[in-house]
Amino acid sequence: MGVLNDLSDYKKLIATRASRNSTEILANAGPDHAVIAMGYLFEHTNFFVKMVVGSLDEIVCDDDFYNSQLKACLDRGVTFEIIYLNNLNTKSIAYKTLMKHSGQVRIVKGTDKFIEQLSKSGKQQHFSIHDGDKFRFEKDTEKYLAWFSFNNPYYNQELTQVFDSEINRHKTDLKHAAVA
Amino acid sequence: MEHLYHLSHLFEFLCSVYFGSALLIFIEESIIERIFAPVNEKIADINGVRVLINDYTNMIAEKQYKDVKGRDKFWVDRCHPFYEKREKKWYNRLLRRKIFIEKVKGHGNKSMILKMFFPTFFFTGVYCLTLIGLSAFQYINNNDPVSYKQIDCFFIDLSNGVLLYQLSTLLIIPRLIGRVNYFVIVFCVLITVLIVSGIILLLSYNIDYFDVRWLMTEEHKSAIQMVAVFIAMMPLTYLLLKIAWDISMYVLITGFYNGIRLAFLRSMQGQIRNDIGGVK
Repeated sequence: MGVLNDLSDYKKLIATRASRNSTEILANAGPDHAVIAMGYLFEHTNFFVKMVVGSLDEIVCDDDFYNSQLKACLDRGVTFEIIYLNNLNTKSIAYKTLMKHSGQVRIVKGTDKFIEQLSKSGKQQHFSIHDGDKFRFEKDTEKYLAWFSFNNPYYNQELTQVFDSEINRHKTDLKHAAVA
Repeated sequence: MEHLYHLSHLFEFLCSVYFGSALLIFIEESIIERIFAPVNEKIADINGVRVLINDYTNMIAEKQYKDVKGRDKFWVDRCHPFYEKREKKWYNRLLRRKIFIEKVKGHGNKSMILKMFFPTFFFTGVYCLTLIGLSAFQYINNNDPVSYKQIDCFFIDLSNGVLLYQLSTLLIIPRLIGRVNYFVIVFCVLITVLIVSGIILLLSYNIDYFDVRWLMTEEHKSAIQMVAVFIAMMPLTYLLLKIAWDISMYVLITGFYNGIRLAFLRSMQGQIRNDIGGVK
């Protein structure tokens, strides 16, 4: 199977699953497939995105398809909450796109506890939650191996709990800082 | 062979099918207008599923999951090797069908299906018409034993020739359409059939085994009738069986991919739960 065919076939399949709002849990392996998965998740997001990222990796985040969908998403008024775990790549196109809509975007650094929580398996794991039903969970961030679905409220909720507990931790830290 | 006259309605029907060629035009139109788009869409979906299965495989490859057990282990140990081994063969079968319908559509008004089967249909139509004519002649003149026997001999030789022609045209012509000039193919088939018929005729005069005229006795009346019906129905039966086979293969192969995808998905549920639950 040629690489080009492989990509266009995968893209067609994901586009079909996305338009059908499929409950199927799909897999993506490799950066090209990660771009396609994220691109279609952005395309079908209408309200909010919660993301846990490493550093806004250039290989995926600077891809044209990824960025065009991210931009379209922001133009629709979708809000973004992003927790980054490593040093944020401020040179990436995605970061610049996000910063153009800074009113809709909130970016915070993950706490050490959170980083530890997401590295239990030995490798750091990232995820994103889109509206109340879509998710993508990156199990291996080096090989870009991830599970994702366009309609799975169950895992979406599970990951939302993880994300929100970290955001609440930030709020508590801020309160403590204010009191001190 | 005057008893074949009793089956004249069947042969008349076959004549109209073979000479009219409406069936071939209908098949060709159905492929272009109704079958091409959904089949292409389904195959595109299968191409995507193949890539997806590859991605699923990557998720469990390199011992990503050291603790695979139960249903998941069954997939890793049994289903996946089976898929790896068989998949290419099944996909190639599907691809052959796709290439064929693309060829038919690509030919547009050049009537590919018609070209593929017309020589067989036309020749068999002539055979049916001859059967009706000769059996009617025998039926009317059954008190003329000389012409009666001559007609029987002619019928046996004609049936031999038609059978050979059918086999050649059904097996050779469809494979060469689009590659070699159509009239060259038909001409070569005719020459081949004439040579083979000549050899069979020669053998029948010299070796008893090849002389099938012993079939012309009263006791083999039903057998001869069956042979005539078999030869007359051959192109139609071949075409219908081929369509049935192709549809069955298509359904089976698309089902294979859906089955494998669902099996994989079901067996991975535990792993997905573990992965996502692992970060809580």
